[in-house]
This record gives sequence, structure tokens and C-alpha cells, in this order.
Amino acid sequence: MNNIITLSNVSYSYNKGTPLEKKALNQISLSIGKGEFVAIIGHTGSGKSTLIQHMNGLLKPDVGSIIIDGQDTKTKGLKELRKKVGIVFQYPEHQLFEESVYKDIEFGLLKHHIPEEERKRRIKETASILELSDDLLEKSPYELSGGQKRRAAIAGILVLQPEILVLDEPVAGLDPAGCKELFNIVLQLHRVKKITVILVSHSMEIVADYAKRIIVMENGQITMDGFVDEIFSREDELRAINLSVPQITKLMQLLNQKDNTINSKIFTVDKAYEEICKKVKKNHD
Amino acid sequence: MKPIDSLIKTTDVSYVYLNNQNPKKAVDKISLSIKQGEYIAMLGRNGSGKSTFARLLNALLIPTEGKVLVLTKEATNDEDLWFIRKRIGMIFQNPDNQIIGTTVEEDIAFGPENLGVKTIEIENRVTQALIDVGILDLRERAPHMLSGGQKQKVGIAAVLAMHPMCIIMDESTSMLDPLGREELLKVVRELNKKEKITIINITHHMEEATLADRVIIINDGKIVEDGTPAEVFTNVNKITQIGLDVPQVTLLLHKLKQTGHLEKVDAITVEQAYERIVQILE
Repeated sequence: MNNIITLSNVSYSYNKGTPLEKKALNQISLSIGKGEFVAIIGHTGSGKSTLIQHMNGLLKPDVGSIIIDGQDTKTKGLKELRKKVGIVFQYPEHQLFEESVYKDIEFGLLKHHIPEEERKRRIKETASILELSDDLLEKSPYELSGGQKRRAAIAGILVLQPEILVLDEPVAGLDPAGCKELFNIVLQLHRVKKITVILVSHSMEIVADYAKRIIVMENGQITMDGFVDEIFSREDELRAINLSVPQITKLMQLLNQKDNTINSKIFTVDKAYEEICKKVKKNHD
Repeated sequence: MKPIDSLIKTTDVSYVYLNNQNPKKAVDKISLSIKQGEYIAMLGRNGSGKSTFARLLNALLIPTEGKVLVLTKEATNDEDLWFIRKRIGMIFQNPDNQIIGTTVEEDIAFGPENLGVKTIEIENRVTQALIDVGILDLRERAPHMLSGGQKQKVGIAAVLAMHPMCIIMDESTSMLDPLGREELLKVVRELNKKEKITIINITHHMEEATLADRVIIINDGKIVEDGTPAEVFTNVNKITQIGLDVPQVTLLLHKLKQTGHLEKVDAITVEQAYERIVQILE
């Protein structure tokens, strides 16, 4: 797999040279392959947000280097980079500002001098992916519901056709159905368009349902990095840094303590169901 | 004095938003009684009317139709309006929208000051609120330098200093990380147990709802479920139809029931589900 993101020995401090200086990233090295779906977890202040802000050059490392698709973020020409890396920050709807949803989605395209025909085509396509109807596009962003606003804000990022999509707590405040709708859209883009997805989330259930790889951050460092089953089987270590495992995993671990032939490395309800059915059938035979 | 039975009582209460071309009935004839000391979780999809309903309870909104009674008062005049707002406090989703003081102490003193409480008494109330919420060490700090979880605790303390009988949390944990959420819920639970303060927690998080004594689900402006967490969440088909979640273990039992492995779905916690599954494995 080709690496699309490579961080080598990256450190970053806030308020440099003042008594408030705080090291937010401490010698991070990390590679993310093209087309991966990676989750970054860690409690508040662990450095997750600082890390993702390095991925499109919003922040630049004090030490070390970041190469995104062959380009060093310290070089000039960050505009191209920012088209390539779409970052959806927390509560992105707070950034809606135009008089209509259409114009809001169009804003980034205008900044990148995309011709009108192409703009129309892309906005139409993106709106349909995010299920924003034509009459919604004509409305003021302030007339939309919470879920619609969130999708409108994300449309403004997706319309630039990023190769890397970074999502920081994308479903905070959305109801469960809205949350599923949004993730199904992201999953679709990931599968069909092979977009690399980096997801920051506090919900272990969401991480288990969608990501393949988990990066755990603590005190500005990466303390664990592996496939979902690998990371969630290290519950004690996660607990030590105030993280947890999905509820279903806790149940499977309890069952495994009683009967060690039951697989405890299970992170989704469907897999748990299969495992228990298998076990019931075996016990009956 | 005889114990107060119902703290809040609504009768056929409706609310219509009139501020655009097509008026929207956000709350549709809800009748409900809330007792002093209850711990309630209120769930519903975005736009279901749950926040509107909550704002009717402390007279931030006045019903289009029907009645909201807090103890014996209805918000029909200024005096009764303040009677209600003093007793039903509210904290919101974004802590930054509700903090006004330049220090934590000042922020908490703001409420009682406005109620005309005497200075020495304000001092006592602020100290007590800080102790109750467990943030005495933050007293002189600037609110904007605090974490989200700490800010929400300041929000709770500010409400507490007004000596409320009920605290409504309108998605107050949604911007917090799991640790901040857990700590805030612990504080609220304590206040409910020790001080018998009624809690109404509006949330999208099922695990928070399972901690409540009573779960109310609002859909399209109406109450569609009202019962203990176990009663409500084991009704898996209905809950998922509305577009809400049930705990993962409840969903697992539901699937096992559908394929005839279980007779009924009656677990919402890991421990309960464990018991049921051990039974079918034997």
C-alpha cells in the first residue's frame, strides 16, 4: 500500500517561549496508507486535534516533517494540499455563513477558480450524495434542521473532492438515525471513491462499527496503533487512560471468563450474535 | 407541610412556532406529571420537540395551548414566571453560551444576585455550590481557561446557587468527552440522591438514559414512550423505528429472540445480558 500521509518525528508546542508553553505533540512518527479508514482515539488534551490540524498544514511542526501525498507541509503551495485534505471540524455548521446553502457549498470551489459548469455539476453531485434536495439548496443555512446543517457543512468540504477526509467528532449532537445516515455516506465514499478516512471519535461503538485501524493518543504521543481487534483486546491499558471498549465487547469478555471457548475479541453486535448462535448450536449437538 | 407530589404538571400543552411562513407544531398536546426527586431521561430525534417541551417547563417559552403548572403556579404573570424560573434551572449544550462571569465565583454569584439575595448569603451559596459540584479549587479561575467538562460543572453550580428544585440538562453532555460526561453525570446523580433535586436529562446517549429512573421518548411533539429504562429499551422494534438506539446488549438479545433462542428481551445492562446468555448456553 502507498502511504498517503507520513509523519516523521513530529513535535509541536503551543505558546512557545512563554511560561504557558505546552508540548501537544511529542516525537510522533506515523504512516497512513492510501484508502485506509483510521480512527484516532484519546481523551481531551491528548493531542488528537493538534495532530489533525497538521494534516493540511494549518499547523506546522516545530521539529520533524509531514509528507502528504508526496508534498511536505512546510513547502509553499498549501492551496493544492488543502483541496486534497478535507477537514471537517467539530460542529462544522457553525461555519456556515452564506445566504443560501448552494452558495455556501460553492464558496470553496470559487476560491479554487473552478469554472461555473464544473461547479454546478459538482454541487449537484455532492448534494445528492448528502441527500440535500434542490429546494434545500435555495434555503438559508439557518432555516435547516441540525442534521441538515451538518450535512450542508460537510458538502462544502466534499465538493472539493478531497482524497483524504478528516472528521473530528462528526456526529456529536446528532440523533442515532442521523448518525447512521452520515456514516453510511462516509462509508460509501470510502468504498466507492477510495477516499482515505481519518475519524476522531469518543464513541468506541462507532469506531468499532466503521474503522479498521485505531491509533491511541496520550500526552502528545501515540501509545497504541493497530487493527480494531488488537486495540480493543487491550482493555486494561485503555481503561488506564480513561478510554473504554464497546459495551458488546464487555459482555463477550464476561462470557469468555466463564467459558474460554467463547471468542472475546468481538466488537459489533452482529459478530456477537453469530458467535453466540454458533455456541448454542454446538452445545445442543 | 405535606410532601409535594407533583412538581411539574402539564395538561394538553402545545407549542407552535409562528416565526416562518408555515407554522410548526413542535409540541402537540402533552400531558405529563413529574414528581419531586425523579431522575428522568428525555430522548427523541433532532427536531422531535423535546427541547421545546423542556423550555415550556421553565417558562422560557409560554404554551400556545394548554397548561404548565409548577407546584401551584402557572407563568401567567411576571411574579409567577420568576417563581418558576427560580425553581426550574436549565443548563444548555454549549457551555460557552451560558458563562458570563470573569471568574468562576462571579459566574455562580450572578444568579442569586439577580434574585436579590443578600451579599453574605450569596457568599455562602457560592461556596456551597462549589463544594456540592466538587470544584472548590476552581473558585478564582477564569471560566474560559477551563475544559468543557469543568465549564458544565460551573453551569450546574450556577444553577444550584439559585436553590432550584429541578435541573434540566438540554444535551449538556454532548460536547464532553467520556470522562467529562461520566463526572458530570456523577455530580448530577449525587444531587438527585442527596438533595432530592429533580433531574431531567435530555440526551442522545442511551447509556446515559439507562442510568435514569424514568425514560420519556418524544416523537413528532408527542410522548410515545414513558416508563423505566428496562420497559422502554426492550421495546426494540418501536425504538429503532423512531430512529433511536437501544443498548448494544439489548439489540443482541433482540436478535436472539427473533431466531427463537430467547423468549423475551429483558436486559439493558452487560450484567443482565450476561445472566440471560449464560442460561441459553447451558
